[in-house]
Amino acid sequence: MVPAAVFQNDEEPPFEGLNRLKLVFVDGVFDAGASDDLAETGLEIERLETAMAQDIHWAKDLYGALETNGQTPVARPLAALNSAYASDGIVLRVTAPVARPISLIYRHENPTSDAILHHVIKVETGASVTVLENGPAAARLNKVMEVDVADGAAFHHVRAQGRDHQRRAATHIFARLGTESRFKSFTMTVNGVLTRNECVIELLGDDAQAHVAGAALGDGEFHHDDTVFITHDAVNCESRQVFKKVLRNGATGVFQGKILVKPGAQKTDGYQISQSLLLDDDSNFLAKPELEIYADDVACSHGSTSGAIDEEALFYLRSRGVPMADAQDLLVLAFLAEAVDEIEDEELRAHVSTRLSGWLERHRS
Amino acid sequence: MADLAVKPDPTETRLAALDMPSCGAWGRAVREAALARLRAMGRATNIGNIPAPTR
Repeated sequence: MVPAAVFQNDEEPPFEGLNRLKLVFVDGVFDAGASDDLAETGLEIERLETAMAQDIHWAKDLYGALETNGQTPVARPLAALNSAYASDGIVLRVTAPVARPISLIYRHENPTSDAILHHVIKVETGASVTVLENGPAAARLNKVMEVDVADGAAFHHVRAQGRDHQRRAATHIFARLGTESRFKSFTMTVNGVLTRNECVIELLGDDAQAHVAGAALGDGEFHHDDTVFITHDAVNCESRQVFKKVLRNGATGVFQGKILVKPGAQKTDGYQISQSLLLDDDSNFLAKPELEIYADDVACSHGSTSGAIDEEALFYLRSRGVPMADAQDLLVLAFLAEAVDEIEDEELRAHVSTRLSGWLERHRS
Repeated sequence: MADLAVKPDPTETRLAALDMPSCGAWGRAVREAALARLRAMGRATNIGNIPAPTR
């Protein structure tokens, strides 16, 4: 069994100081003592095991359903394994706009722990919620989040993965979007030996919007994979995929992104960009952008680039008296900015930017 | 001489080592359905190579 130590530094955990409802999991098990009171206006929150013990429950029609839909055309065995064996998780029903974010905090005490977590989230018509996730969940984590966003509803998700350098994690988000609904997810990843974040989204209602973004910083033994599959199955929908990775000392980044536009999904606007900044010759970025379009009135674009830091920009900054290390960090942060800007909330965006600059400062060569 | 003995399927062995949480009727049904999906995906998924959990 490979242990995974928690990365130690003086930095306080992400989202500290924010007014949020905290739900804490320790080694993949919900810790009620460390969590806030689950009573919150506009929310129904239960543990997965409590929901599953009941004969009738709203989550019955959702648990495993979106995961099942997401198994075609690409099989996702770790997600099926999760649905079968998930040991804990939350079921969350949002019935009105929720004022403060729901914060899922994962703590890691056993260095060889395994965790299989499954969350089910239903955002009812006209409701909105922001879900935050952070913390080292386990040495090996398998996590699935199924999100049903009803007509006119909004779901925002900001996730920070880090602090556990030897982490091996496979995560899946399965989302279904109704008419005029909005889904926004951003993931910041630093450290981690092996991380695969899959996001499978179906736009089923007209005028729906899905934005998925990620910023990753990898140094050394780091393999990070973003796999996204967005299906447009309604008229006048918009999707954006924005992924940026900064890699060095042999780190590897992977992006597999697909936009599938089904027949009849006219007026689709699909955008996909994946870029890497390779800070040395040893690092790798592997990209597989895909578009599959069966409608004739759509605007879909994709782009993928890999490159080094612009020497001219670096020279410009240094000629203005900016030290070399600071100049490099500035350019790296500027590179990541397009992905970070996908976070709508200004305060959350500032938290993420601070984490990224802190990581860069600690990892100066 | 060839070994004709039927060897245990590593996928099944590993899956059997996992502890499916106890739950009510619908919970049990959806978990069993997920397990059936996993099996249907084929042993090609090589799930047998995942070490058994520690808990």
